[in-house]
Amino acid sequence: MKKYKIFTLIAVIVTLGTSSAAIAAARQWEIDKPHANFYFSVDHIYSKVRGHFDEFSGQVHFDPANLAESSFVFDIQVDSITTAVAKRDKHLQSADFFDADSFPLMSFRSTSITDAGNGVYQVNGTFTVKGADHDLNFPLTLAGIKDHPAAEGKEVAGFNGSLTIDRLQYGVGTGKFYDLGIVGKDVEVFISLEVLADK
Amino acid sequence: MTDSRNRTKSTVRNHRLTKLILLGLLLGAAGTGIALPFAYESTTMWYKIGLDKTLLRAGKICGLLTVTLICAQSLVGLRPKALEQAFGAPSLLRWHRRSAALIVLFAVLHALLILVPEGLKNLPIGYKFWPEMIGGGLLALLVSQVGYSWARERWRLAYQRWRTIHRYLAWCILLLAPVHLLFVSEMFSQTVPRLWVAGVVGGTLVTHLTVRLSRRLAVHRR
Repeated sequence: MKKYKIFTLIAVIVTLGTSSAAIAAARQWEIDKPHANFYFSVDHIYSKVRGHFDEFSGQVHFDPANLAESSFVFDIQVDSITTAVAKRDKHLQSADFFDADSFPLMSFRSTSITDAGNGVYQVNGTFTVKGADHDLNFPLTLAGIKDHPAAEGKEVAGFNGSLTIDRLQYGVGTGKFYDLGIVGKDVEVFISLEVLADK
Repeated sequence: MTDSRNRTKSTVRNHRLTKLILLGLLLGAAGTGIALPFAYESTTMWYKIGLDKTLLRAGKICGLLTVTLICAQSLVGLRPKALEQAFGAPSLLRWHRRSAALIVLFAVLHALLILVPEGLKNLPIGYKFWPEMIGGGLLALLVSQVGYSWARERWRLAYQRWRTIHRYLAWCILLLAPVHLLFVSEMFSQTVPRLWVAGVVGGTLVTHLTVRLSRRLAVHRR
């Protein structure tokens, strides 16, 4: 009888622990890859070269009412860089820029998210480029959360954000193309995400 | 007697002239090929600095020499009458064998010198690099062609089968080479480099057609 009581007590503790963890975790969203991307734009002498990354993955936990447990994690495959010119893409993957063979992934892991008001959230985290960690903060605007107009039983949330980073600070290039006045050092990054979750 | 001697002298003179013209054409094609990467820089070259630029340019030169030699090789293999009379069959055969080794050497150098500046681990593989991949296929065909010929002699493999495969592979190489050339580099979007391809590869193909056609007609007449 005593044994039975102990087992019951353990079961209650485990159940309570699991449910409280479920309550504490922010809602998990799945990235809608065809409607999400990491775009960039960089100066080339006078023009702007735009590109994006075809392959990436990530986990989004987001609940505006529970920012403490919300998080963004992104892993971007460097060799999926696309600027519409195959030879340029290959050059960007070379040691002159990303060195994709030695550092195939760029990743971002948020450490905290704060509400900046007007639907803007300040995302703070660690951006790992070419094996080195860098602190990175950027604003992400919540475009909205609503029932998905095309997928029954699903909700969609949208985020957009932009930031400008100095690629040389992240070791993307030695600066020789910048010194020659060919490729700029400031890269405008535009993040556009649609994420989905069951209702 | 004097007539016969005069005829012999004239024949020798003609053969010498043919030799000079043919060697001149080969040197002209090779020389123009070497000049192209200097005169018509592709934009890829603009973004290479120092040693990388030198390697890339040297790689392009090796590639163009490879194509020139492939065309010359196919004409030597065709053995048109004029060529045989001017140089003699044994020396053509010698040329064919030595040139094959040279072609593979230049092709390997071409691949290495082009790939090294971008990093040997950063290979252009995938759909969007199809012209480069055709180049890789061509290199494999060239190595197979030479390897199979070497193996045939070493192990006395069946001649007829070797000859059939050798000919098919030679045609594949001759037809794929201009495709690789024309699409792999922006240099060939310009008129003069395109004319070079038309002259060297087109000239080779036209010679093939003419010689084969005239041989058929000669057989038919008999």
